[in-house]
Amino acid sequence: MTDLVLEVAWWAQAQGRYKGMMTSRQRVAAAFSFEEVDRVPVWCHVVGLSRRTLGVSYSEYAQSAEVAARCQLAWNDLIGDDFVDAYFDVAVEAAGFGQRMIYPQDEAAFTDASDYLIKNPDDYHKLEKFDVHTAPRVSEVLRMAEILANEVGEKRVVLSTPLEPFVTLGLMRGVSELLMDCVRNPNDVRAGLETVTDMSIEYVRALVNAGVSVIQFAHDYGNRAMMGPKMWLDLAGDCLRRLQSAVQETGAKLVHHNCDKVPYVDEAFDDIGHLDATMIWSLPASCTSWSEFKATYGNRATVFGCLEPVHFGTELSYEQAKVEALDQLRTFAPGGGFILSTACEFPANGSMHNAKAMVDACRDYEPA
Amino acid sequence: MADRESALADIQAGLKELDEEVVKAKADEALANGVLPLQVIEEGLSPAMKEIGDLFERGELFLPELLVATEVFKAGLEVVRPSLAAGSWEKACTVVIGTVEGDVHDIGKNIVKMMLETAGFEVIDLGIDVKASAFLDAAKQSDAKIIAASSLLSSTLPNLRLLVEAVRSDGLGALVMIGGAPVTDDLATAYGADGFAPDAILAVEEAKRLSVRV
Repeated sequence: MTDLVLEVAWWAQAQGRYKGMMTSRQRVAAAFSFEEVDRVPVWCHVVGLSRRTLGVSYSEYAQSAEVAARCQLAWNDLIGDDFVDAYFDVAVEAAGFGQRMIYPQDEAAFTDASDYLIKNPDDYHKLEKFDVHTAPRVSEVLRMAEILANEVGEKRVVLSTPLEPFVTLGLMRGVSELLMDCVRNPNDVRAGLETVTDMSIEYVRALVNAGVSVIQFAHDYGNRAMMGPKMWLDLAGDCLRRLQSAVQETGAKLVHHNCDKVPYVDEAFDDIGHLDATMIWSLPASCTSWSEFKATYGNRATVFGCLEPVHFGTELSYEQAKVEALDQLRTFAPGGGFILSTACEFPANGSMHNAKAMVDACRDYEPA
Repeated sequence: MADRESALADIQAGLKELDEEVVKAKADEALANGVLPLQVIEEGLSPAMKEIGDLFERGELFLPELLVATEVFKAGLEVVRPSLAAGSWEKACTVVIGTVEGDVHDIGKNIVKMMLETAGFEVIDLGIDVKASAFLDAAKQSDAKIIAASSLLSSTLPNLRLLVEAVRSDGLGALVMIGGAPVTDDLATAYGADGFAPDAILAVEEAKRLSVRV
């Protein structure tokens, strides 16, 4: 009964609390422009967790635009953050190329490591382009975006997360093999990256046409945990410039994301460019604190973040989570250009209460 | 003597250059010049691998190069293996390694496995999504002294604790070391694990520390 009362209270709050104030779209647009907002926008970054609102398995979520969209809408109805996610998981583009998939009931879908599409360096040259409107999974995410835009696009921001081409290649080759190919067969890797980039550009254009207004690119190979900056830029730099320039041409906002240790943020800004926002999990080498990060990059792009998702989502009580969210707001909100978020996807097994704590913190935050 | 020293130096240089063909050729040459197989490993391959590991720890060399280096090391090892007396190098002890049940990520586990092998451990790789009972069975069958388990997902972290509990309640004498991106030293202590390492290089050091306890 207590949970039901809470849910009703949250729903009522989400529906009526901000009447007469900015819509999410207005609020987020203002944050991207460093203009005044009625409150700091918030993105709970919930994907897998949203299926728990309707009791849906991950397998169902990951294969149906309608099911996934209903989960996102139910979640947003319940919690009331400013974004909805047109997103299944990382393995969408790989499926479009024909990579065999596995769909667990309780975990995100992943590519079948026993049957990688790219079995040797020659296979990078054999990747075949596909029609984004009919390809497996890719077409479903596009339909999900359309549904979300039609249902809530007037008031909420529809966001989607296509992957850096390296990530898609890794899911079709195996990460270890891909990394070794980068040393031993770099020209073959380049060929694969070019083909994936061509398809990613078409995918991004289709997402924006479907109603997505914020594109988040995960530069998940552009960090010290995966490879050196010289190799990353040498192999992927031109592709990322093409891709991110294409996003800019659509008019959508581009969020740079990196969720591994020591991300290459300067390289993302200076060597690749076209960024409107950044969301990272750990500090770049140039900064020793989040305050320094805000001071260094906060006037170059809107900052999303930076709550550590595993800790925030699974280890804290609601009260503790709200305190941490308020601390983040005090660090990042002054000066504008900030959107509260977890630094990567909110854990699918995380606490809904803690996601709600983010929304409540933004509601209650008072600038000094 | 000079030929032997030169051959060992060439093996080291070849490995640092990540050149598999050079390492294999120079390993052959070293054996032909009377270098003992164990010397090829301990004075040729291993010092170079240690240097590569140190560069990786300092952030001067990265994962792709480290992975290729382990492959080149193994290629050199295969040249000398037929000449090695049985049990003269490997089996610092046997380690059973895998990613816990429910988790399908394996890059970190694969790197740890490779680094352990280059350090002389015998490694039984159970792959991904491994039940606690499978870890126990493999450890018993192989007389493993160490079970190394990883979790990259927050949702599967509890399975690391369950694995430790299963090992304790079974009475198996193997030690358990854990790792993975969300795993911390504090978490390892809370779970009752015997060891923890935040990366592959330190995993080898941790395994060496544990291997003298059993």
